[in-house]
Amino acid sequence: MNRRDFFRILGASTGAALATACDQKVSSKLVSQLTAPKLLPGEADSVRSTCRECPAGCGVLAKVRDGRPIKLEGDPANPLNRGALCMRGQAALSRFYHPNRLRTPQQRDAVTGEFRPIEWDAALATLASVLGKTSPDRQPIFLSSRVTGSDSGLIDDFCQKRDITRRPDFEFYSHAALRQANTLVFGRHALPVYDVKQADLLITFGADLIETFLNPVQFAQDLAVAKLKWIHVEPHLSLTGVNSDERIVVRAGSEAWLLAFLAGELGVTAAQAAEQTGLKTVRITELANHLKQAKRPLVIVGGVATATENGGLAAVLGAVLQQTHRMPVTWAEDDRVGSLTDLVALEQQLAAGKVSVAFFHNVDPVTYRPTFGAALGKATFRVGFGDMLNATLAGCDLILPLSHSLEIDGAAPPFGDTRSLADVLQKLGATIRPARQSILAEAGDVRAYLANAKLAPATRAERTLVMTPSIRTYDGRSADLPLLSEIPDPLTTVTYGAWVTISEPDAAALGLKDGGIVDFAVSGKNFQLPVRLMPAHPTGVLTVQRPFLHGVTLPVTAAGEELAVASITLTAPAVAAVALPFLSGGMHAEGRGIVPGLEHKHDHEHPHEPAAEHVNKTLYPKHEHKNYRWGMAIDLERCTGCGACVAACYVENNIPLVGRDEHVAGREMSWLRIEPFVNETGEFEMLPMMCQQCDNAPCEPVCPVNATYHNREGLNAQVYNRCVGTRYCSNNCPFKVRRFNWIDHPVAQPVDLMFNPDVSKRPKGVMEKCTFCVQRVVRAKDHAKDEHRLVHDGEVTTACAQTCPAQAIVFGNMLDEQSQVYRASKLERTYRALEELGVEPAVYYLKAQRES
Amino acid sequence: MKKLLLLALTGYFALAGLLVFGLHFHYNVYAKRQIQPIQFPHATHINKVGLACTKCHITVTNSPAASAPPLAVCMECHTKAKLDSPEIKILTKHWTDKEPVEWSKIHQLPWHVRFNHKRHIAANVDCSVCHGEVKTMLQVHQVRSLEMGWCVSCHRENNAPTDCWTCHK
Amino acid sequence: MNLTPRLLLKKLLVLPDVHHLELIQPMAGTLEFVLLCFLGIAIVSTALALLHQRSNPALARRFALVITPRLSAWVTLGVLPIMTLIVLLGQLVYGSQFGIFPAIVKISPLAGLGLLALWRYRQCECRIAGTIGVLATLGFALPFVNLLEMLHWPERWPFLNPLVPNIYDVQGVVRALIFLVSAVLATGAALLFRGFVWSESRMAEDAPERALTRIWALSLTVLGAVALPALVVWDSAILPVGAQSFHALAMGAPLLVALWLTALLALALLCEPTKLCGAPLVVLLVFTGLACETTRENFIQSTALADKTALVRMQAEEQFAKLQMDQESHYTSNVPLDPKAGERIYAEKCSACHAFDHKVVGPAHKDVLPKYVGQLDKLQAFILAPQKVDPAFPAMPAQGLSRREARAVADYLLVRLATETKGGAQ
Repeated sequence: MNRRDFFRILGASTGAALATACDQKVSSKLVSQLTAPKLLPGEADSVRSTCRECPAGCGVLAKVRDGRPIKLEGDPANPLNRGALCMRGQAALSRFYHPNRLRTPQQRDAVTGEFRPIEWDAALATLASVLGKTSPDRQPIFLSSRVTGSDSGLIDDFCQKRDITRRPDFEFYSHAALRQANTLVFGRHALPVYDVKQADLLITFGADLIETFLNPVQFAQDLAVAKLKWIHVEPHLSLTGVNSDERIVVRAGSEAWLLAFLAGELGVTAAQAAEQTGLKTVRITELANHLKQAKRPLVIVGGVATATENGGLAAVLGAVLQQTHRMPVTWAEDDRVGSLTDLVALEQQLAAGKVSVAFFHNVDPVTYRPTFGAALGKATFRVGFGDMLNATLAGCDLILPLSHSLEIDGAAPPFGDTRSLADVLQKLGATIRPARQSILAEAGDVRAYLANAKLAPATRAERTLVMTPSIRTYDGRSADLPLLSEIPDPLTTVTYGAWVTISEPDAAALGLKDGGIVDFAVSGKNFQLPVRLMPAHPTGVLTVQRPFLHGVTLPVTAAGEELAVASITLTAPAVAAVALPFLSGGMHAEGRGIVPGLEHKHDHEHPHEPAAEHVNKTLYPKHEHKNYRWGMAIDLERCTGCGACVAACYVENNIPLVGRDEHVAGREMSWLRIEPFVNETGEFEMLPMMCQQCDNAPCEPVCPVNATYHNREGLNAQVYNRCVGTRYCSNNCPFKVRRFNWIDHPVAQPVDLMFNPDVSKRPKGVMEKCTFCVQRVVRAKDHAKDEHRLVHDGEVTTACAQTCPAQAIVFGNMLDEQSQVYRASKLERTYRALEELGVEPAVYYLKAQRES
Repeated sequence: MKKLLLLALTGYFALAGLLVFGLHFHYNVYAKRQIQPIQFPHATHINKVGLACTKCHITVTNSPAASAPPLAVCMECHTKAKLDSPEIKILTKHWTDKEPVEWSKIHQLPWHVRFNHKRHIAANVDCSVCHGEVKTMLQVHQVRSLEMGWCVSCHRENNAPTDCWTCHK
Repeated sequence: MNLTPRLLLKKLLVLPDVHHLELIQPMAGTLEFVLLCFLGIAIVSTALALLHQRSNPALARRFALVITPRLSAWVTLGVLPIMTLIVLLGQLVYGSQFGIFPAIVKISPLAGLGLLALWRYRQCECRIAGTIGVLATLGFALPFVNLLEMLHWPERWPFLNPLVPNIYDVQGVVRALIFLVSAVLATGAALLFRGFVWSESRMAEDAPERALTRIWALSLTVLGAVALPALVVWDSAILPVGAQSFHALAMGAPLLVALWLTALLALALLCEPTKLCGAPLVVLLVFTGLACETTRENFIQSTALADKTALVRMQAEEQFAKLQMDQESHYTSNVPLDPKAGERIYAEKCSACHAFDHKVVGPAHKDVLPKYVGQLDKLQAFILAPQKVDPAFPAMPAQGLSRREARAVADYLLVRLATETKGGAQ
């Protein structure tokens, strides 16, 4: 009698008979619709929509099952993102299902000041009556976030018909300096589009191409295929910087000096530039030579470089360089985005009591300028359009809830009684008309400008604070989405909460470790935040993500951007350190050969031979694979570490969000994680690590109930309903990619509608891990079997591979010698992680070519 | 002593009786038989009218998920046929009121099992293998245990995949 | 039709009539009760006799004499039920791929051998015979019980070899335990009956083995009565879905009551060494309880096989209907039909899907009938066996008409077509 029968006869059957009655709830109704639905049950519909998590507005295809969107993927037909979607885009789906979404119009009660729900008709009637009241010295205004196309035309028409002043659209990161520079130099009042693919030398000043600058997805795609040398100049440490070929750290505010020298303007010499930036003169002249020798150079200025006192000048100098070298710069479509200067002007107008009705559409100026909140109170009536309550909407009198773009585009019926902007404005009498306006502007006199320009000296404070946007929340607008707090910041791997990034020597000087509290003041407001130590971070500089600094109004530069650099005094108060939830165990590869080429110097004394020749160290017979053997190849040179794959995996596989406390306990839940590794010279490598589907998996033989086993297609299969939770498998995994459900993860409604029905939800006590999206594989095999053939290469792909902007991940059948993954696995620069253990992973990593 | 023995014995038998009585609530087969919104007799439709299973249950051949036929299929005949039957009157009311019919699902697999109907039909598994002799049933009831061991036995016999992930993912 | 003996046998044994089917289950149940009681008592009593043969021959004799050594009893209660049961069970699963019939045939020699040996033991008290008998009969009874248990699982028949005992599931083990415990219980009651109730074999008051026999009888009864409820509950809880029925559960009530009273009475008698006044009642209760248990098993069996028997019943009905139709057409084709029959049948059956001038479900008659003008036989044949002709329309289902009815409808259709076209043309 074998083990299985022994267990049975032990008397499990009665228990089983009773236990089947205690099942999880399964739908117990079978519904006969009236007519045959056009989609077969189990098939998904595809609806085109737009992501609104940043102004780029990538096109998405929503996968709709049973009338609910369950996954967003980039639209391959959209020229902006060409099928890819970033971390924020993948998480955008959870905005649609957010429990805090406003469901009805709300009106502030005049007496109690509380909001109470009202009907749309009543709301529109109130609006009409309020607009009807004119006053001589007050004017209604309309402030929106970036809108283009017919929505913009509609707003124009509405404003015209009702005699409302449409203020320039407000975006916190408006790239105002770039717009100004382009108008001056090129005569185009628009944001630039850079064709990185054409360049052979790319020098970026501050522009965080990978994180938030303009269209990060497009940049990542272009950088992956471009053959160029990329030099990034920044005062701090950013994800963009670590991805560049060469990272040059300069003093904050000194970029303009360097640009001036490179452009040969303002009489700046190499020595002066060196003195201001803090670099060696040799380095500066080297850079200039590079620029001269390059056949098709491209210089991009943005981000922190344009958000300093010299920011406007830096942008102009960059434009001048672009013009003289005929760099591949084209123009984005027209929009009405203004700058912070415009917002300040509006704030003054409000404060002076010159505004009657104020309309706010999808915009939250109060969060970025608390002084705006005070001024807002002086308007007669405030109307807010938005989807969730924010600081601005909370100060409004009438809140009109907006439908999500997925609802408007027909992916799902609306949640609650929301409308689109078009619906509301049309009800109020506006008609749709085109909103195109020429981006042609009158070019200015560059010479005159440069003649009058004055370069301010670079910041030389003992401690400089650099305030950056966030790759996870952009300007903070995506902070509502808990998925983006669960997924770590790619570089520091911090998840929940705010923090300040500090260099290791600085932290040592203050006696701080991760989580220790520092105190500093910005613009008169005090902040106490925990620190995160980062290797290779420049000393004397601290980096903080701007959305973490709540309730502070920072000065606006002449160019109209918020000053992103401040001199601060840093103290370490006698406050207990907090447990900072960060997920990286350590950023040093310690000679383990996980990322070859990043060995530390001391390891060269005892050289590690990762995988010269390895012997198959198993006693088990080799696996036979019939028809399919699934494998994956990840090109580390292309991978930017942006984390889009992580977000896609979360959404596709119904991975629960575990929260801060579990992260502090080290119990992360992500099946796929990005591991940052660094060596002493500051070279970073971002390694996506997921279940390696090892051929000789150490997790398989140790499961007492055979809940994990190797299937015939090379996958390490985990059967959830069989797992009893001994966690021996996780114990044995050398990559530590197995995740245990320590607790139940109940979700609020309607988030439960977001679940992918093809993937089971795992209950408490069950181990889970990456499955190479076996649900997609099964579906593809099903379709192929209908046509009596095997699955073709490229027909099935995993969620992570599908969304990667850099197309760094390739998935396919290793038995097909023509497949991409097979060919990638045979390249010379291919290796496998921890190869010497002999576990035979199915994931092949392609080394980044590194100049040693 | 005797009294104790008597009490113990009676208690034991009483417990046995209670358990037997309690099992009635645990049994789900006959309990489910009465609660369909329309008493649809499969036997009549298969034998007298001569309909094949896939005439109405269309999605089993081209979808992993089975479904109950849409009411339009019923109304193909029942705009004229057997209009005097009370069940047809209920059906017609659902149709005119545009109200879908919610049948009680008889064959229920637990949440951790994913069953692909299309593949089984494509493998020429007869409907009666799993659903019993539906042509004899005036009201459908479950006659197979639908236990995993049974499924796996048939898979083993017929060279179908016995990989856990075939059904448990 | 010539009903030869062979044909009759074929009809009775191989093709069950609907009424036969209804009788088979209760007949099988009764025979199972008789056989299992008999075999059980035979096995347990002989085993106990063998146990005591050296130490207490008189007691052993008592055990052995629970069943009379008369051959007629052994044949009637042992051999004949087996033979009949083979046939009945074969018919129960007729048409399924389950080889229970050949399986029982294969193991019945063991039963024969065992019964013979046990009978011999009663004759001569030969220990070898007794041992062979016990082992052989047990070797038949346990697989037999197992086979009966397999009847609860029609879904497994494609995978089960009926000769291989199904011990991989608790159900098989529980069934075997129920058999053994019932055997113990029955032996206790039978010993009580033979030793103290039945006048012919009653023991003398001064028989040396009286006290011991009494204790054995009552202890076996109590043991059986107390162990059986647990096993019955266990068995009920692990029944497969297809075998669950309310009646089976309902039989549990009288079973438990009978066993409870048995236990009480037997215990009471055990405690009073001299009294024996309730002994007949005990025996009666025991066999009532065992009858309830067998009836419960019977209900379970019939529910589990309901699917199969329904199919067989349906097929039988179809066959007989066809037979009837053939007979009817053979004997009555010369009798003229009621002239209105065609119209009546048309209104009853055809108008649901057909009309003369427009499509309902099937095509309009005026479109399809013209080709049958003057071809009454062809139209009649089509009505009896409709084929799918036009891909635009669904296949016409057979309406179950007899040949005469079909002819009447065909006649009516053609006449009406003629009148309608004539009228239309005018």
